[in-house]
Amino acid sequence: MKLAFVVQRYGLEINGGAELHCRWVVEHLKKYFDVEVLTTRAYDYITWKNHYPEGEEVINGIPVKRFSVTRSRIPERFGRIQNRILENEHSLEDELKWLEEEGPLSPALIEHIQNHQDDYDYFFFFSYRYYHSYWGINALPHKSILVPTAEHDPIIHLRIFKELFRKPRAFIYNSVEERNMINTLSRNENIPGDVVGVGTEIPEEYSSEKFRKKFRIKGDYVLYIGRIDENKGCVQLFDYFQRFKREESTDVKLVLVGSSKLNIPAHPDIVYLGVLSEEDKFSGLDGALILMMPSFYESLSMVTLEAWALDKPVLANAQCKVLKGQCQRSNAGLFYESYEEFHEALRLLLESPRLREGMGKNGKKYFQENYTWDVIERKYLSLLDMLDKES
Amino acid sequence: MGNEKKNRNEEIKIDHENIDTEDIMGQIRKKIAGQPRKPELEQRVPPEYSASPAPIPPQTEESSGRKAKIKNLALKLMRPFSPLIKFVVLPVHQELRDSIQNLYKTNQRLDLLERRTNENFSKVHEKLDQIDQATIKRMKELNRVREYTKLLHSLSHNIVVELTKLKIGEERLKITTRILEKDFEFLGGREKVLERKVFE
Repeated sequence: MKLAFVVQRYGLEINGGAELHCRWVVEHLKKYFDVEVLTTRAYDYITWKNHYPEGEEVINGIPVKRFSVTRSRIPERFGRIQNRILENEHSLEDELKWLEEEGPLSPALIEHIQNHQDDYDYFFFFSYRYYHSYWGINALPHKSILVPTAEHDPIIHLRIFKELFRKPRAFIYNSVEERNMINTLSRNENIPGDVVGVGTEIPEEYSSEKFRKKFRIKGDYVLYIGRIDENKGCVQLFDYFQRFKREESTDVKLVLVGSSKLNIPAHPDIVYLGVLSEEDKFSGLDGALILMMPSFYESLSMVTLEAWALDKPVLANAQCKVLKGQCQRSNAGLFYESYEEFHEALRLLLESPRLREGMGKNGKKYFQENYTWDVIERKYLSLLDMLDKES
Repeated sequence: MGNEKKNRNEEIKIDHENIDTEDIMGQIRKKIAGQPRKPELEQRVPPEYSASPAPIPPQTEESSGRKAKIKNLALKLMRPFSPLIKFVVLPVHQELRDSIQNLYKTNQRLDLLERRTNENFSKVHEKLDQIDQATIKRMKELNRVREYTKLLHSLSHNIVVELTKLKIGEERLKITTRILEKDFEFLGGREKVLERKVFE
C-alpha cells in the first residue's frame, strides 16, 4: 500500500505543530507502508516564501516531493481579508479568496495529486485550513484521509469547511473535543474516524542538573514551552504570573522556551531561554515543577503530552476545551478560567509536592495508555485496514 | 508562614490516592466564591515589577483623636446611605455592572447589525423598484411587438387571400381568353366560308 502525506511545510528544522506531527507519523508508518511526503518549498509559516529547492529529496529515509508556492502571503493583506470575512456578511467566493490568501498557494501540488492519483492508495491531508487540504480533498475525496488539527478558532465556522468536513473518506482526530466540534459543525458522524493524536520522541539522555548548569537556573521553576505569542495565551500568563508573584512570597521562576513574537516583561523571575534543542527542552521539563499551558487554541498540545510522559503536572487554560478535557480525563492537570483560579491552582501545586507527584503519575499513565507510538501506530493500521475492507 | 500555608491548603481536600482534578477545581471555585472579590484596580496593576509602598508618616495621639472624631462624624453622615454603599461595594454590584456592560455592548452590536440590515433592506428595495420599472417598460415593449406581430399576421393572411383571388381571376381570364380564341377561330372560319360563298 502506498500512502501520500500532504502537508504545508516539511523539514527537520520545522519543530512544532501539524508539520512535526506529520513528520513523526510518516517516520513511524514507514515500516508498514510505502510512504511519500508531498509538500511545498515553504519554511516560513507567515509568508510561505519558497525556501527549499524544488523537486525530490530524502529526509530520514522518507522521499519528499516539494512544489513551488506561486504567491507569498502578505500578512497585512491577509489580515484585512480575514477581518472582512469574520466581521461581515460574505459569499462563498469571498471565502475561497480568503483560502487563496491563506495559502500556501501551490497549484502544482494539487495538479500532481490529480495527475498521480493512481500511484497512491490514500492521501493523508494535514491541517484542514490550508489551500492544499481544501483543493486536494475536493480533487480526490474517496482517497482522502483528513487529519484536521482543528482548534476552536472562528475560521472553522466558514461555509467552505462545513462542506469540506463532509467529503473525506476518513478522519484522524487529535482529541475527543476536536471530533465533537467537527461533528457538531458539519454533522459528519457518518464518516469513519478515530481519535488518535500523536506520540512523542523522548531523547535518550536528558538531565535537569545539566540544564540548570547550562542556563544558570537556581531554585524552583515552572516552565512554558512553545511559541511565545498572544494567541498562545502568553500575555495573560505574564500578567497572571507577575500578579501571583506580588501576592505570594515565593521564589518560583517562570522559564520560557520557544521563539518569541512578544516583548517579554523585564521581570527578575521571568527567564527567557529562546529556542532549545530537544535534549535541552526535555532536560528543562525534567527539572520543572509544573508545565504551564496558557494557550487559548490547541488541537492536541504535544508539549502537554511530553510533560506527562516525564511525570510532570500541567496547569492549563480552561478556555481551551481540548486542554481542559485532557486534564479532566487524565487527572494530571489543573485548569483556570480566571486569575483567581490561576492563583489558587498554582499555589496549590507549588505548595503540595504530593499532589504534583500524584498528578505526574496520572499523566504518565494517561500518556502510556493513549499516546505511545505502539498505540498510535495500531490505530492508524486498524483505520487503514477498515477502509481497505470497505473498498 | 508555614502554618498559614498549611491552613490554606487544608481548605482544599484532596484524595491523593485517587486524584480528581475536576473535584479540586470545584473546591477552588467554591473557595473563590466565598472570598470577597478583589477590586478591579488591584487586579489591573501594570506589569512592571512591584514597587515598595510609600512610607506612612507617624501619627501623634492628638491628631489620631481628632481623626477618630471626624471618622465617627463621617460614619454618622454616611449611615442613611449605607444600603447604597453596600450595594456599590459588594461584589454582586461588580458582577451586575459587568453583565450590564456586556449587555450594553451586545445591544450596541445588535443595533449596528439592525442598522446594517435596514440599510441592506432599503438597498434591496431600491433595486427591486428599479427591476419593477424595467420590467414594466419591457412588458410595454413586448405588448407593442405582440400587436405588431398580430397585424403582420393578418396582413400576411389577407395578402394570401388576395393572391389566391388574383390567381383564380387569372385562371378565369385565361379560360375566357381561350374560349374567345376558339370563338375567334370559329368566326374566322365562318368568315372565310361566307367570303367564298359571296365571291362564288
